[in-house]
Amino acid sequence: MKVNGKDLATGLIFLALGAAYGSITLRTLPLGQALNMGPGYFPLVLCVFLVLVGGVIAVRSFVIEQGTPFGAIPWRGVILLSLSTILFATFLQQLGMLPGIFLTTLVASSASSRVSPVEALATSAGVALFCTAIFGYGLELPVPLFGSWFHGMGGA
Amino acid sequence: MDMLDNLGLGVSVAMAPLNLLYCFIGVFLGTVIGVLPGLGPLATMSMLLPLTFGLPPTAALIMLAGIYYGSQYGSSTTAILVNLPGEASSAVTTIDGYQMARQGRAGPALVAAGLGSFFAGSVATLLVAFVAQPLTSLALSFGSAEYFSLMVVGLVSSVALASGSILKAVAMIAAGLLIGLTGTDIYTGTPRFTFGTMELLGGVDFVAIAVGFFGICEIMRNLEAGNLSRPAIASVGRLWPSRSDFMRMIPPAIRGTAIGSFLGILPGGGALLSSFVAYNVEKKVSRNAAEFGSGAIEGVCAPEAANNAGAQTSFIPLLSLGIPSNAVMALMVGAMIIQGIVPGPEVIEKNPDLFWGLIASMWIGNAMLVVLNLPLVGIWVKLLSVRYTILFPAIVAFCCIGVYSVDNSELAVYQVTIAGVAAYVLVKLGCEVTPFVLGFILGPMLEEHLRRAMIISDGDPTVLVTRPISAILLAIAAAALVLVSLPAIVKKRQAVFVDDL
Repeated sequence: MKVNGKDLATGLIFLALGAAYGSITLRTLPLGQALNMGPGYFPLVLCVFLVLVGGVIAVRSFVIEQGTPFGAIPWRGVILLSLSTILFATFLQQLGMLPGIFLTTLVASSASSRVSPVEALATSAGVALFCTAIFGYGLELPVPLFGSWFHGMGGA
Repeated sequence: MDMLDNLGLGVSVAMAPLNLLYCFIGVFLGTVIGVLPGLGPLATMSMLLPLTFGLPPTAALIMLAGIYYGSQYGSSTTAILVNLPGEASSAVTTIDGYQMARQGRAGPALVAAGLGSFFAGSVATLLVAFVAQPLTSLALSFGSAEYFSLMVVGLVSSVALASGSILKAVAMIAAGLLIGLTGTDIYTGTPRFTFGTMELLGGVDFVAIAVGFFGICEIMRNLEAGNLSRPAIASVGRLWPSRSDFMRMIPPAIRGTAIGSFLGILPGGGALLSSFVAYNVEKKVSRNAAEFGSGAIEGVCAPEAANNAGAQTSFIPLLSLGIPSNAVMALMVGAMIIQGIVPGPEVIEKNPDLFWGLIASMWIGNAMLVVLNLPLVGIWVKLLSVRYTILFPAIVAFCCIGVYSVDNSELAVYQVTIAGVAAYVLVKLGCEVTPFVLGFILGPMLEEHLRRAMIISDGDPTVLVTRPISAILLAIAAAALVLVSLPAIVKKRQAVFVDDL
């Protein structure tokens, strides 16, 4: 049997989202009634709706024609781009603004194999200086130029 | 008379040095970033959103609006010179625009786009001024039931005009509504879906969603498509069009403006649909129909006029009713809420200087753009040669620090990561993100009005269909849903978006 994989996955995602949020709603939020809706009423309606629509999309995937294939997943791009933003959020205080932005840009650069190391380093340095000028000096963002990891280095 | 007073107030606000400065900064930054290949208005606005938060509300919204139409002008330049539309709404411009550029007539194409847009922008701005106020008075008589139904119309139209599967778009709306409810329930103070964190009490960060969806996700898709090499840039050549070119520009500019102005007002409409429809109409009615596809100046002028007109008139439902009709307007609502302004019919009464100042600034901004874009086009051409391999890491870093700067929140940056990956997966599965964003913005308002309507009606749900305006609105929504589900329309709908690309 042929299955439209993309639609099946889409349906299951929405179904899972509706079920997960629905169970949270039922466990933690009072529903109230139509006259005086509690915090859980509207969310529950949405969750039931999501489960239904998700279910229909999933079931329909068995009967409709094949769609375009999902295509290859560019793991390198997706993972490294995500990693660069996570690194930024996790280590901004420890690294400080200048090294933090430099590292983020450098990791993001490596998401594409077309970027040469020299180009990546140059871009990262430029972006770090530019963003520090705008956000550090222009908008006075309360993030140290160099974070706690650099304290004690280079003397003071 | 009243109108003149109001416009006078608007002009005096928009001409205040500070607002004039931010209008210029907005259109300038919008053009600079919009010209860069692969960056459209949504990505540009999301990226620059955090920069506007430090400003007073009027200046912030003027700047943001400037970024919007600035990046639209910029995207047209890219569409014509390198055959790369920065966003979907200039996709049709590439068809004849790039052909003209290849024949050495890039200059006249740019002028046709620029002047067509300016003409459309001027007409549409006046239209906004004239239509927004009466619509506002009407909206002030709306009760919660009407508001609820109005929002349903807005959401349903975003489905009707989406280009993909209707069922998936409906699911995206519901998901957006649900995620939008995250945070403290306004009636009871109960935290919802916060997973025990303090930071989510204020809700999922809208800026993070916007940046993840339109910034990071877009980069992932571009890296996948692999068009990273330096694009071939057509030379501009002689800028000014000949007399006959000029004469040929006038009718399509007028028709495009009319089409765009009308479609822009419709919820779910806006720039994208306007340009597609204007191009297809022009192809049917133009005397030079045979030239379409091989460099007809009408094929550049009409969609560009239409998308600019649509861009301006989509402010009408936003300013008068508080309903965002597309993703860009959803960003504007997000910015308004962050500035402490509740979008809706009260804006015109409570913040008349903001309302009229924003409208007047649209015309001033459009005038600035003609000056920026036509004589200075040589400067932007240089920007076109910036390679994407340098751009995308810079965008990522800029997005991170920008989102962080809004609330000094690390969690907001993590939300960007999640939103980016989620959007990438969903787009790959054939779902559109715009319905999600509209749902996300409207979720809390929709629920509030529903609950209030139910309290007022003693829990009688028929109030939604017994009040006449509410009933009409819901009937429109239902009719729209039925219409787009009909097989004949489904085919037409696909044709509008696929045809000629």
